[in-house]
Amino acid sequence: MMKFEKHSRPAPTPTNITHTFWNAIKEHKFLLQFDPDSKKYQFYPRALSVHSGKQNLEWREASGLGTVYSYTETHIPAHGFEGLEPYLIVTVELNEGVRLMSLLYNCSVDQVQIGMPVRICWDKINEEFDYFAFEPDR
Amino acid sequence: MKNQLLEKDIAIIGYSETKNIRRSGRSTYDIAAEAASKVLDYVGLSNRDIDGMATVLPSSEAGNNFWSNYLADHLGLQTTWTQTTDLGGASMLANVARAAAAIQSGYCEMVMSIAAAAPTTRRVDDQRSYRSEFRNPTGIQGPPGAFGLLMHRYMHQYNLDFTALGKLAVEQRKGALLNDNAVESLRKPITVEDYLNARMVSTPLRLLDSVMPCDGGNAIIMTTTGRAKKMGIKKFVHPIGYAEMTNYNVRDQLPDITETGFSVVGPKLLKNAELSVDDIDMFHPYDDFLIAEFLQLEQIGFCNRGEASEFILSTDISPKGHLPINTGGGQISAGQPGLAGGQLNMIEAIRQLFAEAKDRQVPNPSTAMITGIGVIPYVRNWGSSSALVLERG
Repeated sequence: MMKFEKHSRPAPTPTNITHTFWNAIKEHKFLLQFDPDSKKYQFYPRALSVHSGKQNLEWREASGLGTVYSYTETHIPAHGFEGLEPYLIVTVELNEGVRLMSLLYNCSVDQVQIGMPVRICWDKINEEFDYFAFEPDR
Repeated sequence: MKNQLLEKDIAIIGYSETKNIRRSGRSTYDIAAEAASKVLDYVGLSNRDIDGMATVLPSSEAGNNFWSNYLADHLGLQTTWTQTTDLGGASMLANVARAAAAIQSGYCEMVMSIAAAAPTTRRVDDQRSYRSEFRNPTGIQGPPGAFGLLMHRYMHQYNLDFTALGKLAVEQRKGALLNDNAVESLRKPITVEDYLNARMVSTPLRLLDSVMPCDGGNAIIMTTTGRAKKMGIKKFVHPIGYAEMTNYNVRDQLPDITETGFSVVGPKLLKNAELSVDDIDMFHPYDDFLIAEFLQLEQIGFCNRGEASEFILSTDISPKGHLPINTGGGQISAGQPGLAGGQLNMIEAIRQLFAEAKDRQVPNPSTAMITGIGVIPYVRNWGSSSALVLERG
């Protein structure tokens, strides 16, 4: 894992829509919104189901498992990531049928492949908070 | 539904553009004032003659939720129809359609559609929702990161030849050399080798795949064709078809990110304008990144899906060629004046249709297709796709 003491990485500010999600993240649980009417998941968290337009949504814990949909190696860093480049970012299709994006750890640019199995891991961005990231599910 | 624009009752009668400058230090209002006064001079009108105004909210003024009112106030415009569009780089084409509808509905008769932006001098935008919680904490390098992800996925599904992207970069750069309004630092020739050797930003996306932000502005004036003729205006173009899509595939949680809103917008526009791609004399696509032009060529129908590399390599896209593309350099080589960049390629298309493009003039063009792209959503491609066909009057 990278060390981040010298950097101030942007941390999310929860809203009343996402506070349940971020509270679970603090306990290293990854929740998805499930729409029981359409029987589908969605990500990112919203105040209604994109599938039905209704506010009938449940939080369900995700498997944390998925596959790489695409990737990019960042050479010019984003704000708060200075000095950490190059670093890998992936979009991942979770087994529940949603796509998300974050950093990929424990994997070199030569090893990363589209379709590769990955799992959620935890990424300490400051003393209080671990963001979600991915690593190969070897 | 009937396409009212085919009546050719709407005319664009003038255009203006400021020079694109990095870190100009200029107020957005100063840039807008230059664009406004130049376009009024071009058509021989005063600000008193303008009764409608459309604009885009730029990042340099994004904290102002009364933007269109403030801008019209600064320009001395008393208006009966006023519009701010916030579809990013798709906004200024969207404004042509909205202004045409407003004129056809009788809300106004003489519209200034004006864009000014100074993002390399001042940025005050604050986008929340998915951006602050799910994008910024990942370290993705903004739009280049998103397009790096898009390019790798495209390469996984189709053939992407980097020498074809290089050819597009080189050809557009030739336009910037002949364009006095292009950012000065971009007005030097490049080769395909320069493209291939350019610094990586977010793999496989290189520096020369990307626009360079700058400050600048532009404006057009639209009215009825009847009024234009009464004024004795000799040069005008008609918008004859328009289509727009926002949030293509938004409900699909696993969309194919190589398929964009243009897969709907392109065919719909051509049908509305009663044209085929062979009838388009010049293509002025929105070019924040070169790969976006490839996707548009395919999905509008200039070539088959996955064949943009072959198409670019086998087609003369210079001003004298089979399909001239972004003859003034596009945003890629003239610079992207923030969200005014969404009108930059349209200004070039009008200049060409008015036969005022000098050393880069396309021989006798009568139709142009222009496109716009706006907003980078979460793990999809882009938020809004707009496309317009202009025909010489």
